[in-house]
Amino acid sequence: MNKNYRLHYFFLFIFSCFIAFGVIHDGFINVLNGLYKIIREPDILITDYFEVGGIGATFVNAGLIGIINTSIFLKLKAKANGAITAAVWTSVGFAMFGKNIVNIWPIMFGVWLYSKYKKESFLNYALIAIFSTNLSPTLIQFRGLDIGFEYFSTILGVLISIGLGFIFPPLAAYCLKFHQGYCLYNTGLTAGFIATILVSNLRAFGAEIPKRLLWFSGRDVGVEFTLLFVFLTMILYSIRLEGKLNVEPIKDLNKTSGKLVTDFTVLYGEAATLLNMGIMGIVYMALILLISNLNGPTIGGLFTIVGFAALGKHLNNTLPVVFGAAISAYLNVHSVTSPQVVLALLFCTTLAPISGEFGALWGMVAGFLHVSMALSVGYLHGGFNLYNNGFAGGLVAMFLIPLIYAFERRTT
Amino acid sequence: MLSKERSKVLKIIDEVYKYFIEHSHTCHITSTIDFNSTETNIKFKVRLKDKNEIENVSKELEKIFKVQRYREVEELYWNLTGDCYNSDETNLVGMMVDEFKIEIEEDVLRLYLTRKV
Repeated sequence: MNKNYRLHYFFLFIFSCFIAFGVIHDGFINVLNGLYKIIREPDILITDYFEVGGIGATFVNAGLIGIINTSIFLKLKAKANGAITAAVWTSVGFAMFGKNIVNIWPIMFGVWLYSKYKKESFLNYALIAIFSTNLSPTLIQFRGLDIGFEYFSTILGVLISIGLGFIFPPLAAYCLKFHQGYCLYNTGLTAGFIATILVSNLRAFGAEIPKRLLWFSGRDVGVEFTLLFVFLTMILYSIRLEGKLNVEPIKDLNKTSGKLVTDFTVLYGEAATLLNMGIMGIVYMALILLISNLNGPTIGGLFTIVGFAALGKHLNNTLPVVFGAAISAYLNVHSVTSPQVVLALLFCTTLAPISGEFGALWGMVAGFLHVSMALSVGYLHGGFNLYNNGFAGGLVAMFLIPLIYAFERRTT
Repeated sequence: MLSKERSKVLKIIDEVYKYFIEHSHTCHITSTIDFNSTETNIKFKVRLKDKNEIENVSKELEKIFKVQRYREVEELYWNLTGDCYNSDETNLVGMMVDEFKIEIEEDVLRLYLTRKV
């Protein structure tokens, strides 16, 4: 096996397991019906696909999205690295509540068109294309806006989605300057700005943006075991690559700030990265089960953490931020177990580099501020931006970083 | 307006300068840039304090630049390089360069970087 691609093949195996689990869980016919519903229904935040199409169809959708994304990188001969791992797993996570096998294509096509416009290889933009699908709900949303015939609304949705994909790459690259890499979900910030511009214009011309909250609150032992299997398999594959359970690199990895671009596959190798991903997966799954349940959105948050455990996140820099967010969740007027707060507790780890670079106290401040911000900015983009917490985290980082630079005494 | 490619080259140079200034007691740096349509060659000549410092810096540079070029990562994150001097982006610079060579001669270190278009 080509060493450059073995991580891709390993992830393809896991995504195939998702599909197998989905079919075994609900049966082939139910999965097909569920997928049809997932494709037809609006996807704005928060649309839990467990509620829309059932658990089986959701896992099949996520597995297929994972296979599509990984295959794109394999086709482009891109070696698996931390950024690609983060992009693929984030997409798979959001395939549990917003991205599906149909709505991702127009946006990605828009990014592809941009690469042709710039006369550059699509490889350069593949990462951006995968991340940009956080605006996927735009496609179907126009159908619900009552702006003419259904076909006209659908075509408009497709064209606008392609347009959003076309303008995404330069904006994504530029938005990094705002927070200097301290918000890991940078494309969430980018999509937040784009969706805010889009939605504010829609509102200005009289469109009503509906609110949506579909949240599965049951428990499914099969889902819990499947995820535990995935994370343990990551650890086992790490042991196989290394020949033993090597925790030494994990100690060093936990000392890094995690600021973009801290690529663990490059710095510590694939085995250490997989070990970190597995550990993070198990710890944060336990946290979810402690405060809520495993459903589409919470698994989305979990997979995003696991993906970014290859690009900056580790226990040392994420836990202080989550602790700060938990304090805010406990003190504020919202229930700690409300969907938005649970998601904020998971996705606040986008600000992990602040904790990693400036210490746990600043990390806690960042987490504390993130919760309130995440609960407020949803109105701006009307749920069109799936990475709502990336948008919120980016704004918190833009606010905090200049202040930290001003007041923190740096040693170097 | 400067092309994106040339902006990236300038940011690489900026980041390498920052690296030498940050990781040495005293240093004297000169650089040359050679642009052409297919590749850019950058050469740094750095006079450092002593042999020890040269060895340390050389080892670090080796680690940074032995990483292969990651075009997809570069396109999304290249704006992090240069401009801001509060953080270290040398890992990213390593991903933006195709080939490198380090030469040491007494207290002088020469770093050659090649970036293909």
